[in-house]
Amino acid sequence: MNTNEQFSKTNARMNRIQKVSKCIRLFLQYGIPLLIVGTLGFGVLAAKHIINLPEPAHPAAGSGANVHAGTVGLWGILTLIVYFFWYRTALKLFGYFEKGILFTAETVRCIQIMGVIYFVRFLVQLILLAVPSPDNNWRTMNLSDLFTSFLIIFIGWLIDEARKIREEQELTV
Amino acid sequence: MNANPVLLVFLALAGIFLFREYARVRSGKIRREPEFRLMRIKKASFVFQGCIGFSVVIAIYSVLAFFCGWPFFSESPSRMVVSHGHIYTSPAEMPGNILALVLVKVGLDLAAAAALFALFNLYRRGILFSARNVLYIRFQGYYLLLGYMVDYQIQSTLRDMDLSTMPVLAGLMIIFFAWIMDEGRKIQEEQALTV
Repeated sequence: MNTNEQFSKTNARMNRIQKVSKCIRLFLQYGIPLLIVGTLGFGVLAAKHIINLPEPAHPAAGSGANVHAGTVGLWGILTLIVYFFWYRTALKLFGYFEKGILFTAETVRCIQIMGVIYFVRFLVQLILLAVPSPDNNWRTMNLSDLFTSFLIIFIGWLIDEARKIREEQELTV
Repeated sequence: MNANPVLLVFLALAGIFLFREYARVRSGKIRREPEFRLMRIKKASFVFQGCIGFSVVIAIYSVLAFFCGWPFFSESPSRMVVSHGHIYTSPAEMPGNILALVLVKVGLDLAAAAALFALFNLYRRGILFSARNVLYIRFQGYYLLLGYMVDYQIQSTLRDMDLSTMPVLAGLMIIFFAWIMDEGRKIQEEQALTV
């Protein structure tokens, strides 16, 4: 393969990555706030009985008798905070990908922050749900958060080590 | 003793290991040559393989304990908690469709564990960015999505919904990372073939 062919293929791949990253970033930046506003709007309309929404078959487990109301409120606030940090980090990360910055220290940092966010979410769930009533609630906890956090942190660390190996090899005389 | 302390012990050990590595990095005692970096990756992969193997053994025993009526830690007989209000002490108590969905979920969990074990095996052998690595990473993303769908089906059948969308977002993110890694790998291969 000569240089021109290789260059055009590489360019095409990078363009594809940048385009997809841009679409995802735009969806995160504008689509998610619109979805939230839309959901709130539907809720307000349903509360005023302007429209009818189907009732959930059972109330959400968080409003059951077994879970303390204060714990539910605190869990809701902490979930929102976690979502906010996830949202901010995801926007930053896809912004880097959109600019063609793929395997650098900045992107690795964003990836590892996302892994930590999932781990924090799992810890909050463990403390707020499992500790007060351990018998049943811890068994229904979503362990996928723990699994996801370890996997994402490990992938981030791996990419960082591989990047440093390559940089050090390039500096070798 | 029930499985709760086991999980906390595992988390404490993981925390100690990570803190120890972080302290070594900060103190500058860590060797930065490429071969030592690779050795660290291999060592960490070996540790994770051990954790996965241990978790799979516990998970398989817990499922067998439920179906055969064996004790599981302090529970005798073993229980299966499908959702907040649905705890079963034997398969006979479960509706047929719920039992089928639970078995599908168990199968998915074991398949994902096997793929993860194979992935860390590749890392342990020093193979970091091959097509097979990307395949196993992408499988984890699809596992999170399929697992969410099965959970949704179980909870809507039981009319007891309490699901978060975070596994869906995580699954989509992992699939995207796998694609980025694959494209990066192909770019590198094409550059290596340049005359």
